[in-house]
Amino acid sequence: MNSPSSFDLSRRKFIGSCCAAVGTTGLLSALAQLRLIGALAEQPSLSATTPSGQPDYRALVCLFLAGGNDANNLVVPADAATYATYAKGRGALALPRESLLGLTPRTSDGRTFGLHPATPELRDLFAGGKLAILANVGTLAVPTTKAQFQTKSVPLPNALFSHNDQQVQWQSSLPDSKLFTTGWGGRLADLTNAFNDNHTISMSISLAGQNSFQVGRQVSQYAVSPNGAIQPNATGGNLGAIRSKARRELLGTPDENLFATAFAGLTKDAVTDSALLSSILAKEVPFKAEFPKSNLGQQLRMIARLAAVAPSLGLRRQIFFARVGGWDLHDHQVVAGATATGAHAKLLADVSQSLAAFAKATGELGIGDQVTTFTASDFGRTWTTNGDGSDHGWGSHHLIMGGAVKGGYIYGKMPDFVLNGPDDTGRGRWIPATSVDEYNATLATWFGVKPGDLPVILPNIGRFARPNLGFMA
Amino acid sequence: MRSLFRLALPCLGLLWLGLPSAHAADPVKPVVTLTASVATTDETAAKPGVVTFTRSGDLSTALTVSFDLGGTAKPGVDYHEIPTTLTFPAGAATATAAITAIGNFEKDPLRTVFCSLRSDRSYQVGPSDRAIVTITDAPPELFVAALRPTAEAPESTAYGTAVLLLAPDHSRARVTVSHANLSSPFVVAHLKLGDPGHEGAYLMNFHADQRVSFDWTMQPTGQFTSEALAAALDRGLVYAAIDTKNHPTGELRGNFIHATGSVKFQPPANPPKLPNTPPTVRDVARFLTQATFGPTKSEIDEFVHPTPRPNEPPPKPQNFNNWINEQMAIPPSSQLEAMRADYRAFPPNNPRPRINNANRQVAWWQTALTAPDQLRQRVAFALSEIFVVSDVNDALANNPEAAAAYYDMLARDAFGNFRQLLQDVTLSPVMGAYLSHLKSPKADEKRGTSADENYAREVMQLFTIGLNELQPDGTYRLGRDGLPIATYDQGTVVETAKIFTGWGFYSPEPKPNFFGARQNYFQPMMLYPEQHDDGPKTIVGGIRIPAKLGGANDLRLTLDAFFRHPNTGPFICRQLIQRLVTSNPSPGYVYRVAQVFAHNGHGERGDLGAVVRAILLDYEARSPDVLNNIGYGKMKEPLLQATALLRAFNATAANGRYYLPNPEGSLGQAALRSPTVFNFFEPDYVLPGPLAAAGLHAPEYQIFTDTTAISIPNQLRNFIHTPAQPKENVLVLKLDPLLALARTPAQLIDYLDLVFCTGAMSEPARAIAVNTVAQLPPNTSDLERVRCALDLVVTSPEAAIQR
Repeated sequence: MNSPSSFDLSRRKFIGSCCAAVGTTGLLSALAQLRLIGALAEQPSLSATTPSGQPDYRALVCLFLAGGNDANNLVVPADAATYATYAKGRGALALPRESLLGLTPRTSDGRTFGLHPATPELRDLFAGGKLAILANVGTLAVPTTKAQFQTKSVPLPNALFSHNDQQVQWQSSLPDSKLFTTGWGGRLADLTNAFNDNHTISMSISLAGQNSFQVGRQVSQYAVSPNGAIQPNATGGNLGAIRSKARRELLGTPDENLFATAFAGLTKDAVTDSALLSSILAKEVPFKAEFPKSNLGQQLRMIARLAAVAPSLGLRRQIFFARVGGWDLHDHQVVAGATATGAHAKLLADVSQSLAAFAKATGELGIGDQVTTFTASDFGRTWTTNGDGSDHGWGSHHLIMGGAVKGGYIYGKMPDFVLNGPDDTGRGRWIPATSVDEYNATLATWFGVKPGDLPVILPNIGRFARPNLGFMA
Repeated sequence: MRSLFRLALPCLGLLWLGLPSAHAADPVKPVVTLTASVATTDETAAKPGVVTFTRSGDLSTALTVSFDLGGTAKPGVDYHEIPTTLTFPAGAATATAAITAIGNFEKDPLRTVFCSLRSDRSYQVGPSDRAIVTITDAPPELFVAALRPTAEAPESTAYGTAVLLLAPDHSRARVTVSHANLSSPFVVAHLKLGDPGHEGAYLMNFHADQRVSFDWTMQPTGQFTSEALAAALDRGLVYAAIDTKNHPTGELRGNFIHATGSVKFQPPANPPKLPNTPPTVRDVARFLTQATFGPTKSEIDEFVHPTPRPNEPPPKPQNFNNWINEQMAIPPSSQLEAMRADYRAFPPNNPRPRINNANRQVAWWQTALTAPDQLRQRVAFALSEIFVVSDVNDALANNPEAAAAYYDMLARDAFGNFRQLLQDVTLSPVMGAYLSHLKSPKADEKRGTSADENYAREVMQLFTIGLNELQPDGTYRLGRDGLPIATYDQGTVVETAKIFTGWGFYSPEPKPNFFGARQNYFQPMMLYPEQHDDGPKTIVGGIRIPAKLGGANDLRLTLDAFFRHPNTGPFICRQLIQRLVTSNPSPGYVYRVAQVFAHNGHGERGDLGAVVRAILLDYEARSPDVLNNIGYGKMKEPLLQATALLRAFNATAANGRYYLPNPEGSLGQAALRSPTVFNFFEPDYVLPGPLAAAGLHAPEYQIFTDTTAISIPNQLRNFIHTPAQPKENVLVLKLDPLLALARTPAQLIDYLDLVFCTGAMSEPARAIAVNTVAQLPPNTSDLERVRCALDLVVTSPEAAIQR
């Protein structure tokens, strides 16, 4: 409903001219290289080894909870007064107070909170300082108050409360741009790919197929299954070997046509890359941590293995994407009368156990301080229930895990859990107090992006007060 | 004035301060003064600046004076260096120093040459001891050469542009040459001087990769003086030419023409005539690859040798024009009906079943694979990749039938008029939901909102005119500066956005509510006049739309303007050619088709049926002569690679369903499921490497990644190597026609070569395939032999590239 910012225009123009003109594809990467030369010169942490002598390596893992996690039931008010508000507001969804896993954050706004009973591993990580909670974060075009929301006197994210739009906005960090072009992870990869000595295997790896987060202009996302590299199939058996050999020969047949040459070249490269990754992964799994057998557990297990082989791949920066669905719990979110159980509890238990295993594995690998995992999701959910579930909301709480995380804190600002109160846009759809941009900027800064370069990754960051929320060491 | 210069030139200021007594007269020595007698000059160097030195006293002997040169102008860069001493000959009271500017290509600010007399024992410095000559900028002259195939290379689809900026002083020229689509590898490029059509005299060689820029110093060359060179250039006698392996005497050539304003357009030459002989099986395979979702062997055979009918004379071979006529007469198949039928036949096992996008994808596959109106459906698919909507958008995800109805609309309009298509697309609530002009209200000053610009921008950028002005052959029109000219700016977008305000869901109610009207995705959007911005607007091309015409008139005038814009024909025609025939059509091909768009021969502009016919019957689509051009053809879209295989062997599942609901997982593509409005790939995508070096666009390669380069052939192999007892929804190929050839590998491969590679498989590739099948272990079953052959051919580069 509002005109896009002037930035969008210039950016779109830039992309347009990029595509129109032959031979300019290298421009962006050259720009990225130049920026990084500056970054390398100014930041000692970006040299080949860190002051502590560890090789310079960093990985970001985006764990996307597709469908909209009801974080109102992940981080739950625990002090008597606020719990009473919670119990009244959430009705049939409310967890028993005695079931909550108590948190002792290092600072407090006076209220106390507990975690969902299905997440004891998260409670331990929080207590151990490896997990931080970011309260009430969500998509924002600009900082927004309730009055501004009601009068629509400021631009709002497009299509709030809509799954696909909000998923894309979380992943693009451009909530008022109507056209998706790139994800913020993709832009981050474009800028930081220069850190990597080798680009054979992309630094952007998805365990969950194509996603918006990792769409870049230069660096393409590389899909890997929880079992490893995707390889040419039908290669088994006697005939399979014969066919593979003939296929290789066909790809090597000289052809003057440049389209055929390019096809053969790219196919050969892809097969070689997949074989390379498979052979690197064929070595013994370098950690003992046991992961849940769930799809998410296996995704994170493969991410740990891929992070472990980063040096063999010549990679000093990696960005991973994992996804687990099933969170759109309009119905059957909890079991009536036993609200600590049900569909939501199962999902949270999987996340909790998988994240704990991942923390353990990266710790064994000695890269616990160099890998940061963060959650993202379409939106939070309504504070009030529709009977046995919750509906689409807005601001929500998220988790950041890793050795470099200043854990044990609740960052951001918890909503005033009052229906029709200052944070409520209706039914307890909280107006985010912190923007996705601020969340992402803090992560990008840790990843090695200079403050001056943040707008390249997060064009809207200048609209918000806190480009660094302080949750990363 | 002086203080200004002191500020600007502090070091010179210091110099003056060091000469406090210079003005005191000395009766013995001559007094020397200087002044700028020609104080301004420019980069043309036609009239140099002049500093005149004057002396008093005894003139009988020569006197040498020295001076300093300063100022913002750099000697040797902005003006020709001169000695800093000057001699008055005996008897002369004055002497002059000339400041001759050097012309360059940039736009420069004023520069100054500051000349100050140095003191010396032999003379006194007079009161006027300094002079300033100002150098002003002059623009270079622009010459442009459109590089087009020579008479020796009639089959070439190459093209290029050479831009020559002649420095204002005619001392040198900056030449930028770009070319694309050469038929064979580059050998050498040169500048020559000679009459058009005649071999000229050699001036210089330059190595031209796809794009090269170099400075040419116009010093005397051979028999030509510098002046002769500039004069020849002015008279259009200098040309750039590019020699290639197949055309050693020149494949591309173009004379530089003085560009005053925009560059004059010259229509490309006509291509050679196509021979009037019946088509061969290879010709037919190629044609059906372009015009359908993939040929079958029996279609090809029937085309060339139609089955005789009882009691009728033996039939003549089909011809392409008649085939097109027959196809265009077939009523459109409906995806919406097919998806509803699929939903009825296979109701989801779900307590609250709803028709969903899986049903729509099933309908797409069923239509692509089995519908009789192949040409219409193929063109509709092409249109769906230009007029993009996507079920990645929530509104469409939740209204799968609406998406199918949109696709049906494209199919219905595929051979109609472009103006109708543009209107249908614009008023489609599906497009409205996707590009957000559905329920877009006029600006509200109180709330600080302005009109939604989304559709206004994309309808121009992607659906009609594009970003830059085009010649009638689709190449860029160039401005006075040698650069492309933008078709519109952000101001135009803001203005055009107002046109698209006030359109909401159709409602039959007497007082429908703009925001609250029940959603209706099956009727065109309706105007809600009170929500429409009825103020004046200025749209593309400076066309003014006066206030108070009403939303319907605003829309009509605006769509008319887009429709009539000279860009729209070449812009849309090029993309349709890219989707059907080749990624890099020559300007001549685009021109010929765009001419049909402009005029179908019966006074109609925008006849898409005529455009499709022109695309498919063009020399560049039909003549085998272009097949050997190294840049001809395109990568088949992954979906089309899949349909080619499934159609060739009439794939069916036991339950009769074409159940491939999420092809994007393996193929990177699914109908109406593009991640962005820019489609899965863009028409100008450039793949770095040899294709880019050759100046070729390679749209489909945008989705050919490390991941899909494996997952696409994996999917094709999954279609081939189906289990012996497949599940009831697995598509199985009917390989019976091949089984008869299982023990004759050469014939087997020839069959597959014809169907998947239009019979163009190279001899070495064919030999690999034939030998591999021939040398399979003796106990290999016929089915496995056939599958092996099929596997090798359909995943080969030859099958993936459409030529």
